[in-house]
Amino acid sequence: MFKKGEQDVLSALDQTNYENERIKILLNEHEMPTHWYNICSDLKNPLAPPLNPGTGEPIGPEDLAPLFPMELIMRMKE
Amino acid sequence: MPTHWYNICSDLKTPLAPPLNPGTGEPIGPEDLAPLFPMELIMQEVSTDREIEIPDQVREIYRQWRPSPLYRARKLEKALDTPAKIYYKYEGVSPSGSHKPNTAVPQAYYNKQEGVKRLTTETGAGQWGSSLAFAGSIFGLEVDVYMVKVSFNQKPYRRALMESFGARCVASPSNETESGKAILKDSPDSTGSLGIAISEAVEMAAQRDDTKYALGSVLNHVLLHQTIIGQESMKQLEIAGDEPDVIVGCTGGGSNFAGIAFPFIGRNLRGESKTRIVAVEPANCPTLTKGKYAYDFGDTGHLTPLVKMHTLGSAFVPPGFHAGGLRYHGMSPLVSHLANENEIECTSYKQLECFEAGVTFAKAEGILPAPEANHAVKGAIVEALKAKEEGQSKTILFNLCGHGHFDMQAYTDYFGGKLKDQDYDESEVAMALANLPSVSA
Repeated sequence: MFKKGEQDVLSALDQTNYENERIKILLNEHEMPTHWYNICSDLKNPLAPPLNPGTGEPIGPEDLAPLFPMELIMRMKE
Repeated sequence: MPTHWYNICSDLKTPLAPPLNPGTGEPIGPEDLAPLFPMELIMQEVSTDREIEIPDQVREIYRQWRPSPLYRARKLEKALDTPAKIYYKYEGVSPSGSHKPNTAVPQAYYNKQEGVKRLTTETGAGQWGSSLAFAGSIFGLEVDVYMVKVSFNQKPYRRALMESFGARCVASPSNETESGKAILKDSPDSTGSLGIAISEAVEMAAQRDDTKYALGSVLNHVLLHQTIIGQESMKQLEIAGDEPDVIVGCTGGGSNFAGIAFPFIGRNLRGESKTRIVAVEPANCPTLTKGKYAYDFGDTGHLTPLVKMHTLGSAFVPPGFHAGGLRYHGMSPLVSHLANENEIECTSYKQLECFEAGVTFAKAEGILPAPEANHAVKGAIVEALKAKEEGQSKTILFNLCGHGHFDMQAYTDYFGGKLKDQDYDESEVAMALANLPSVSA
């Protein structure tokens, strides 16, 4: 049981005892990533473009507009 | 993480009434419990020490999921448009998705230490059974679980989880025990109850020297192990810079409620705080709000000692509603004692309003609570709306004792309009209470 004033001591003890045998490695909320990573930027060869099944031509953003919001289409292009 | 469990018996203003031997009417001693429990747990059951050290091996297993997170329910506060601050302690992060491993692990540990090979137990919703199955698998113990038949049929995935951990799961009442056979003879279609399942598990444990019994709630040592919840919450709230005005938990046998509330009630008892404590139970198994505070058996087959508790009568079989963990005729003697001394407030809500509260919570916070936990959610929402009405910024803490991922049939039935608010059968309770054992105490 924690007693007032002893909590910091207990935490310190916790760290001494468990630092080397920690089970869970947790991040703080502020340590959460601020950006997604886009693997297309690092591909050795670019991805083959999606094709319009009617024309056989690469499709443009406007072809996807009925299905997805523009922001997500722009992410796909990147 | 706390290094000790907190024993509320050390701070009680009046001592707990002792358990009695049903044959002699005399208080039972540790030796009477020895066939069922390892000595270390019996000593914890009768201890009045304020702190009991958590063994290192148990703490090491606790660390797999503990400390559990304390959440500030900011999105629920916004959805309710309340000035209240709502915090919830989330026990659904454990291996079995509820608070139950907090006691399953130490119980399995002490049994292993004393050479026990097999554990028997009962389970309602399956949260306790799967937790003991998990703990048994860690320590290499066989685990036989008697699962209340209505839940056994409603929750095949809970059974699969128990079997994944290597346990055997049997629908109760079963033909494996004399207690089960007696029930089936009178009522072949019995849906079962925790009281019946306890009889079956106790009977099996008493038959073999290498087998002992483990209980998932009610007893002092079980509630003791759960106090890690409230102690962590206390520290987490201190970090958040808040102090709770009211604490809410749901009660079936009393263990998750005790877990979050006892460390705070202890502070109240020592005169250090005046936190309101609210126990919420289902309206159709209203043990604390409608039951009698009297000596009764803990099981239907009358194999257990007599304990003084709030009871609906050991013959009462609660209706088959969807919160199997709360379908118990009795209540922990400690929680009953505190209710009787007015240290806690007790209230009950109906099934449908609890599911409605659970869905409101899930939409805001993204966690679908177990049907049992919905009672605590309902209690917390009522407090938050009261704060709004009074224009007061209260701080509310409640125990979200488990997630509802194994309870989707209950939610399917709820959304399909199949759940009804059945009242409990008053005449059945009256009959069950008329048959309370007579004791002089």
